[in-house]
Amino acid sequence: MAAKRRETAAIGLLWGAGIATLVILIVILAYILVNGLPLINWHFLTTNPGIRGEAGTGIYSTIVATIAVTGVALLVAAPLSVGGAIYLNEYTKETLLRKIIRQAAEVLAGIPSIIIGLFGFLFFVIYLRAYTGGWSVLSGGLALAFMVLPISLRISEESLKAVPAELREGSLGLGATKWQSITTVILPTALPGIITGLILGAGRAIGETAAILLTAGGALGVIHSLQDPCCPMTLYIYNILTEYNDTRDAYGTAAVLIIAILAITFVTDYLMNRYTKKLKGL
Amino acid sequence: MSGEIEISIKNLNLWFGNFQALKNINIDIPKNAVTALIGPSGCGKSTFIKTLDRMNDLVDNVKFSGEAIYKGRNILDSGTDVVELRKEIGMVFQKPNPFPKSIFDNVAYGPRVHGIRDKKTLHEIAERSLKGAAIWDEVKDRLGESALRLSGGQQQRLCIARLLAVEPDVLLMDEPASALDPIATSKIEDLLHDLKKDYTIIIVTHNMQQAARVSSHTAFFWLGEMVEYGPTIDLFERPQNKKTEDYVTGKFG
Amino acid sequence: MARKRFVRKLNELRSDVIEMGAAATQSVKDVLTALETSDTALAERVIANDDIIDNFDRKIESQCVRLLALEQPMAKDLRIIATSFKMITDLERIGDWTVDIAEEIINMEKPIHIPVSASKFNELVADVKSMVVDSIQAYEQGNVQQAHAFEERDDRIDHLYKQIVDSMVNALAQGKCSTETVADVTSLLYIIRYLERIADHAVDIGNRVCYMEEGERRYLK
Repeated sequence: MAAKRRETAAIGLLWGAGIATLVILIVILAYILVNGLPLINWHFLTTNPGIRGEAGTGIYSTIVATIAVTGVALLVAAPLSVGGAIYLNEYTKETLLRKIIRQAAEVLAGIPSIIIGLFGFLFFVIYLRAYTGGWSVLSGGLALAFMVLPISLRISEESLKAVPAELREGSLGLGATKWQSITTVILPTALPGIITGLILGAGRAIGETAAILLTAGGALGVIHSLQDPCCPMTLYIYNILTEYNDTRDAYGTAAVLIIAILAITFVTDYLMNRYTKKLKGL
Repeated sequence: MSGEIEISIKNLNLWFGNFQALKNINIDIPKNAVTALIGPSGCGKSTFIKTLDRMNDLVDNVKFSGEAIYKGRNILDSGTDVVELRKEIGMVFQKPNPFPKSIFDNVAYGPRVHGIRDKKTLHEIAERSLKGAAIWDEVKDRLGESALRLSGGQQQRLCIARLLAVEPDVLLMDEPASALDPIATSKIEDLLHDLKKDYTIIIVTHNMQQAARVSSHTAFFWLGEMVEYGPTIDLFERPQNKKTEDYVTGKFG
Repeated sequence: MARKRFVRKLNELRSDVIEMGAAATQSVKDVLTALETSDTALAERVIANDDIIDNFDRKIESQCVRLLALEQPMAKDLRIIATSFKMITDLERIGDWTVDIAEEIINMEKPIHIPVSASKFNELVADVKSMVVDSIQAYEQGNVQQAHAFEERDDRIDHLYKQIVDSMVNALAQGKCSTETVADVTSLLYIIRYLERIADHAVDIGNRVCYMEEGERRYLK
């Protein structure tokens, strides 16, 4: 019966590991939310930060900035990653080129964000100043696109791969062209996966700090154009903690950020679930 | 059966890389009849029919030579418009593969990709095709439901309806009933008897009794060669070739 | 080789048919011996033994149906079963004809005396006997050549038959026979008629063997 006892012990340890993970997450969330939630009110969300980030002001412009940079990142990354995935999966065979492209995406995913930020700084902020406006939403968004791209490319490709070959054969067998087959059958079936990939990428973009640090600018005013400098929420938290004395607003901002991410995650999950069920006819 | 030939295949050879899957196939497929292809697994029957609608083109490393004359042209020629070809020669697969769409959208898929937009026309085509596939009565009140909610046998008949909607001349069927239960299978077989009046049908089956039940002509494939071809009753009552005899009597394979 | 069980059953079927053929052949031989030696007891045994032949008929018929239903036979296997199915009818009829001959023998005056055409009569008897034996052999060996020869042999038998009938009828018409003799001659006419029918069935068996081996339906007559 030593075997049975060992199994019980193992199960206990594994269970413990799972619980530990959950506990850590809860602790982090709890710490932030406990400190931050009280600060959140309508005033907080709709007023701009004070010039020195005095506590008790708001984070309106940072919310706008976060949405803006994430929006730019998605607008750039989505067509590139989805289009790229379609091209790789549907129009090429498993050749060396395809392997190289995939490997490149993996490497890109692994590049530290500060280095992406550095590249963004040199390329978007300095070199392309005339087009991006230097420190700006555009520069930040473009740098973030580099971080979104590898994730959503890989997930889009997996989603397309997951579409059963029979559906492709079925639509081609009826005399559809490859493109018709892709747009009318394959993409709709792969859509939940693709969108999930994009949302995951967006999540990464929302939470990105280092790359933003070197490209967005940090100006606290509400942006009027994409070429204006801005301060997304993550950057704002960093600034508060490094420059100001009263750090309460950091918690508030962090709480908003976390709630936003959680909300996006759950809503996306729910919507994609419903879409998938509808596809399957359940 | 009129005695006319629908497709005439001459000297067809096919390779997947270095492996020769089809060796010098010569066969004339009769029009408006059911021709069955029998033989052990891996002997080339499915590869053969996939050559006729050029679905083999999708496989890496495929090479083929020879002719398949259909409506006066060689459909194996590299200049053939395979998209157009597949409107005339269509395929039903072993595992039913309805799209994750509604029943109506499945049947209307073919006409839609070919440019038909008018709702009334699409409905007419859908009704006619679903009737042709002997499934209209079962689904006429739920055309908007997802096709995936149908049973396996119904899904397969839906796939046949989907094919009929593009009005092909030739129906290729790759073991269409092997994933179905006996009752669904016999519905498909009855359907074939009706369909053959208007369509040329080639059916691959590993079930000899099915081939005997549904076809007027049968070809026996073995290791990539077509060993014997003739009227079904002759092939099963008095095969000429010893390999055929051994196979149909179950002595091997 | 696959289907060992089925192959064994098919071989059992063929053995049974051959055994039934042997029984029918024996009846033919015995009844002709009884005719030659005026052996009434032997004739009676022939009548009794017909039950054996009838039992085989029933047994083999149901074996054939069973194999068709359960084994889905094809090609030569199918032809063997179809042939056996029909052949047992021919054998059963041969058995019945020998019973009829035996009954005539029992009714005839003993010792049996063949008034006219004795040599031709013996020839006919010998030909019919050998044809029956050969037909069973053809089935057993799958010998198509032998079967093809039956047509010619049957023609000879028919020819002999006509000659014998003619000479017996003439003898009757010319009043060369006494009353007892007339009755016996009539019986002999029946007997050779039965022998001619037995020969026809042997030819049928030959046809079926050709079909079984070659797959073509040829009619030798």
